[in-house]
Amino acid sequence: MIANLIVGGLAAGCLYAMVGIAIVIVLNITDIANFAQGEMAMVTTFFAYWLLDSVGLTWWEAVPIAIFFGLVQGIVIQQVVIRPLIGSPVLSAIIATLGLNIVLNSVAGLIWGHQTYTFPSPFAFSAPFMIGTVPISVDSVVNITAGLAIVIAMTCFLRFTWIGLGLRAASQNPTVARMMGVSISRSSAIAWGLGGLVGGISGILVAPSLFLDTNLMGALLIKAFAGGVLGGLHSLIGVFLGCLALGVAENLVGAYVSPAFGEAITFIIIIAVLVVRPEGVFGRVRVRKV
Amino acid sequence: MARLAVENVSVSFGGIHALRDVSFDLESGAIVGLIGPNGAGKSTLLNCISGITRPTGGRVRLDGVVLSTLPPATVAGRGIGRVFQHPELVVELSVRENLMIACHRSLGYGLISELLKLPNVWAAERAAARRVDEVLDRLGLSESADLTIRNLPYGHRKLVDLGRALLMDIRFLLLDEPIAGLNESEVAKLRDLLLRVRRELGLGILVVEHNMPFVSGLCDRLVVLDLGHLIANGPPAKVLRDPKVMASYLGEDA
Repeated sequence: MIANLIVGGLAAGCLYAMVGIAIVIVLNITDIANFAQGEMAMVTTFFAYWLLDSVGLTWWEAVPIAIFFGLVQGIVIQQVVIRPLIGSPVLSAIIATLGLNIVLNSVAGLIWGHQTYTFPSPFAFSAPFMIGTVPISVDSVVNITAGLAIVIAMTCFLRFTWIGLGLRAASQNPTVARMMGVSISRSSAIAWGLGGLVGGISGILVAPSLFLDTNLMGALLIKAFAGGVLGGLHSLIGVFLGCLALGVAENLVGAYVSPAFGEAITFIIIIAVLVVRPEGVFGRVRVRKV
Repeated sequence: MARLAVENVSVSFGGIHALRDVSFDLESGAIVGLIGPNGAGKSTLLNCISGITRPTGGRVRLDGVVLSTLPPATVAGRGIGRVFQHPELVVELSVRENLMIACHRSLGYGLISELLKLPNVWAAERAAARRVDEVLDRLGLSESADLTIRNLPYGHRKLVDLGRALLMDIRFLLLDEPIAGLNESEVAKLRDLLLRVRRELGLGILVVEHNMPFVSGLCDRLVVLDLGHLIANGPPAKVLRDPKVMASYLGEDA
C-alpha cells in the first residue's frame, strides 16, 4: 500500500517536475518567472490532440511533432512578447506572462471550447509491471522515465554543449557574457524554446489521466512552483527533487490524513519553505548585485 | 602590416577638454606605452579607440578604415581587443569555460545545426577547443583550466582576461593598467607573455600603465599625455629625459 502510494507520488512528481524544469530554465536564464508556462503546455497538448483527432496521425507520429511545436511556440512567444521587453524591469515581463496566461487560455477556449476531451495514451491498457508484490502502472513508469530523461538531458545540455555554456554564462553574468560575444536575446529565445518543449511533454503525459480541457495545467503550474520553492528555483536537480517530494507528500497525506488535505499540502509547503528556508531545501543563497 | 592611426582626436565633455588634437600611430608588432599623470586623458583615449567614447574631433582609423564612428562590438570584431583594469569574467565558470565563451562569436553557426550536431559543428567546436588549449598553454594556465574563476588568484584572473582577448582574433590589444594588483613574479610572467604574443602573433599593443620600470622595459615607444595634450612620443630613454615630460609627469614623484 505505502509502496504504491510512493510510486504514484513519484510519477505525479515527475509531471510537476517537467513544468518545474521548464520554469527553472526560463527563470535562470532570463530572470522571468513564466506564469504562462502551464497554458503554453496546454496549447501544445491541444495541438497534439488536433493532430491525433482531426489530422488522424498516430500517437507516435503526433507527439514528436507536438513537442517540436512546443519548442517553436516558446521561441515565437519570446520573440513577440518577451524580446521587446528586454531592458525594461523584469516585473513588466512577469506581468506580461500573467497576461499571456489568460490570453492563451481564452484563445484555446475559443478554438476548442470548454468541454473535456479524452486524450489517448498508448500505455493506458497495458498490464502493470510487478516489482516484488507492488504493481506499478505503465503510466507511472513512463512518467518517471520521461522525468528522469528530461532532467538528465537538460543537465547534460547545459553542462556539456557550447550553447549550454553560453546559456550558463548569460544566466550567471549577462553583462560579461554579452561582452564576450554571447547574444542575450538568442539565449533568452533558446530558454523559452526549451521551456515550451519540456512543458509540452508534461501536458501530453498528464492529459490522458486528467482529461484534456483548457484548465488542464492550472494545478500543475502551482505545484511546479511549489516543488521549485521546496527544492530551490536555481537548480534543475533541486526543482526535480522538490517536485518528487511534493508528489509523494501529497499522496501520503491524502491517504493517511485526509484526501482533501492532499491538495492543501502544496500551499502549506510553499508558505512553510518561504518562511523557514527561502532559498529552498537544496538551494544556495544567490547574492544579487543591485 | 596593419596600422592603427589616431588622427587629431579631440574629446570634450561639456566645456572640459579631455583630449585635444592627439595624433600617433600604432603598427602591428609594436608595443607602445601610453603614460601621463592622472586625468591626462589616457582612459578616454582607450575608450575612443575601442568605440566606447566618440571623439568630438578627429578620427581613429585601422588601415585607412574609420573606426571611430562604429559601435564597440563592431570595433572589437575588426580586431581591436581591450583588457580592462579589472578582469571581467564569469566567476561561477571555470577558466576553460570562460575562454570557451570567447570563441562563441567565431563559431558562427545556427541553433538548429548545433542541436543536430551537424559535422560542421563538430569541426568548428573541435577547432575552437584546440585554440582554447593553445591559449591555456600560452598563458601557463593548463593546470588550472578546470578551476572556477572564483577560486583563482587575482593575477591569474587577469591572465584569463588577456587570454579571452587573444581568442577573439585580434590584431591590436589595448591594456588598461595590466600589472595593477599583480605580484613581482606575475609581473615578470606577464611581461614575457606580452613579448611572446607580440613576436608570435604580430600584435600591436597599447598599454596604459603607471609603473615606469615596467613600461620602459617593455615598450618600444612611449606616448605621453598631459591635460589632454600629447607632449612627447618616442623611445623610452629619450622621452623620459624630455624636460616637458619630467616637469609634468615625473615631477610629481620627484
